[in-house]
Amino acid sequence: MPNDAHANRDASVADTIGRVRSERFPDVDRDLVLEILRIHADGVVPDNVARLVDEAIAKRAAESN
Amino acid sequence: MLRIKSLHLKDFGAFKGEQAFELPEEEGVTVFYGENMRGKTTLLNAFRFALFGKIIGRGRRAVSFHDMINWEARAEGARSFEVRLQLTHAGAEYRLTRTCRPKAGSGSPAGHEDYVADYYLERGGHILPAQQAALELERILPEQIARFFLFDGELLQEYEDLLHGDTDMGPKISQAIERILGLPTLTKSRDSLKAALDKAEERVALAAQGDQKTREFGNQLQSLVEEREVLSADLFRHEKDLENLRARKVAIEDDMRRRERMASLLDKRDRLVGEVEALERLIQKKKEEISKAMAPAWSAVIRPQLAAAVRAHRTREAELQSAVTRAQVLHGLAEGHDPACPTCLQIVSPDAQAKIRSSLPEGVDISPEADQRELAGVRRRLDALESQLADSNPAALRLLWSDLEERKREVYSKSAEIEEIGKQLTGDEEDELKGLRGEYDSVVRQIAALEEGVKATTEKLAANATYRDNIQKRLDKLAGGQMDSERRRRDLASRLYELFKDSVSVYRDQLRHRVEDDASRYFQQLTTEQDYAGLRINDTYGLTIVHRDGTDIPIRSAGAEHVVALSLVAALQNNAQLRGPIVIDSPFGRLDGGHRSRIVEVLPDMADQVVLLVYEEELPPARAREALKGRLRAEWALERQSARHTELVKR
Amino acid sequence: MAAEKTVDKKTIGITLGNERVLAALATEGLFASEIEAAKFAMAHAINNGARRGTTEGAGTKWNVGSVDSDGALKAVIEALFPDESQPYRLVEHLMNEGLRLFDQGGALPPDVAGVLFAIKAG
Repeated sequence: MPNDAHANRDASVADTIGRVRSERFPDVDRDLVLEILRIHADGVVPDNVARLVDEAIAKRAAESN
Repeated sequence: MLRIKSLHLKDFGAFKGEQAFELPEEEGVTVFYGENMRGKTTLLNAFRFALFGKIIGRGRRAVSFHDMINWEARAEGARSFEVRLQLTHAGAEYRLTRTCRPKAGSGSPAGHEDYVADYYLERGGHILPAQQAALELERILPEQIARFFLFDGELLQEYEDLLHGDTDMGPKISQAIERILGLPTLTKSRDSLKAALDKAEERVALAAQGDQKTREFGNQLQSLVEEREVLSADLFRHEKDLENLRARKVAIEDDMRRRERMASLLDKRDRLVGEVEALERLIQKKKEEISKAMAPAWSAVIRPQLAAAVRAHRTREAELQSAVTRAQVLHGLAEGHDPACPTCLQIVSPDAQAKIRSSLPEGVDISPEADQRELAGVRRRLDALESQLADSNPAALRLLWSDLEERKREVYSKSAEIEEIGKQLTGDEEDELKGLRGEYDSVVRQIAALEEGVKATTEKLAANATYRDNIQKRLDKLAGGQMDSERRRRDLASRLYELFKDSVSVYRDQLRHRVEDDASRYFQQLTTEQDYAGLRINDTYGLTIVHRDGTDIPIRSAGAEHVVALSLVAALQNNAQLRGPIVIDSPFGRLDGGHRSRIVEVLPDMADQVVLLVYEEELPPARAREALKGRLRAEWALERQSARHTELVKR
Repeated sequence: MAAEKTVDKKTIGITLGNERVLAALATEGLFASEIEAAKFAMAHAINNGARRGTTEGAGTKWNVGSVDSDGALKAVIEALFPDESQPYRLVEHLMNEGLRLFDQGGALPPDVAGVLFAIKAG
């Protein structure tokens, strides 16, 4: 249950990374970035995080081919 | 948003029996008035105990659980205490109950070790399983940053750790700040991506090994990857160990600080022992001197008698001498041998000669031999007497003895001191202190060695990365089917990693500036000094005051540190992912009235819920009401029932 | 004055009762030998107005040669006690008298420093 502060802050993290992406890493897919952030939301990391990240990357890498 | 609803105490510290207070729903300040030693700090500790199971006393010392049970209740048989905290967080209702009771099998508990404290956490009325409870508690208020929410004047002082970024705790605390500021999402993403990138590289290597053209490179890459894994594991271990050692070092320093008094007693005793040893050597020398000097001491004792004897003998000598001379003259004259006086060589007239002859008694033997013999004897004895007199020196002897006496007195008094100190030191404490010092030295050495190791391993990792890079580049020049898809994944992982890495820097900088702005604003509101324009934060969250003329002022005076610390906390509160109440115990330190008023005025802005623990002289209720106006929500008093019993009373 | 021609002692001794005091005196006064301590006791007796006399049962401890190698002691005694015809007998007597004076019954050691500090200026 995100409360105000969480949402605000999360928004600002997303803002920041969004800006850096568009300025310096436009080749990196926006949705992929959001997905990575979502996996790590709240600083609490699920046990299978490595696998989730791998899958996200693999999916995107295959698609862009 | 963390909100405290109520706090319930049972036999906790000065609060006998069951007592409780609620905090109002609305934003604002609740003030607790209590004289010193009434339990203000205990209230603060109640929060700490509930949340972390810890109770902190003066000098950051942990307080024994045994001493925390209300003493009156304990005398009546109570053997446990409890704190219950009701709060809301992220929209959920929580109830945290932590109890301290004697360990099983502990017949009559006497010390801290005889107790155990455990807790349970309910959410929405359901008790959470232990692991989940721990996770949620950690999320509600991580212990590492609790100090920004629950603090007293003494802890505020320790904020200096932050204000000088070069102590060991500095990095740890700035990490805590970064955490409070919500960086973890980004940093954890970055770390995951690094791991993903490493794995992608491994897979490229494997693919390269599968292809004849690229096998050689693939093998090299693979072994480099393996080396990197070993090095990374080493580094991780080193850093974990370092962290533990540093924490241990701080704990030992705390412990040693506590025992400083003992340490200085020990030092004093050692010094005294050395002095006594030196004195005893000196005394030995003096005794040898005296031994030599005592040989003629007997003559010193009878010095007056010797002197008198010398005088008497001299007189006798003179008498005898004249007698002998006269006898010789008369004899010469009587015999008529020589008409001249032997003494003055004048001629004696015949008349005079006749006169002399007639004046002599008849038949007197006027031979001078007897007198001469006696004279010789007198002279011999005079020699001996004068020689002894010369040897005798009572004054010198007295000096030697009183000097010795003086030294002996010194030894007695120092020995008495040593014994006194010995009474104050128990053998255990001395051994413990020695053990501590030994451990401290060892820890310091280990830290140095580990730091070396970390440095070396880091360098090796860097070299490893360079080699891998080179090989990757060469591999990339060669085409290959299977390798291509792995390469694509690796490239993407690499780009993602770089993106997050950069974002972390950017975000951290943003945060730093936001916090700097807010802290500066609070500082201007709190300080009474017109010439201060604001605060500046450096990379390690070290602070300086900015003067109106643009120069940086290091934060030196206690007053400024106090105010700066408050400003920083307020700013962190403002920007924190975690919004919560602040509970402050006597925050005014040595600040003057002007500063105090300002702090009170600014308090309501710092957090939605503010709990202020003060004593009336420090902050008269009238002044508090005036400064806070409508934002003063409730007043409580800590009322004395007896020396060991305080009651919470709402005003 | 004519000196009586009598034979003087050739040895000097300490009574049984005085042996303990002599040992204590030698220790307390840091004397290099018991002879020196005995001389000190003698001087103490003289200082306290001891008269000519004889101590019986003194035994034989030292030769006069050991006690008074240069004859200085004899000369001093002759000077202080001109009527004495047996100076070494008197020395023996004075030593034992002095030791008796020093004897505090074993409770306290002989007060050597006290004696030194009590010497009147002469």
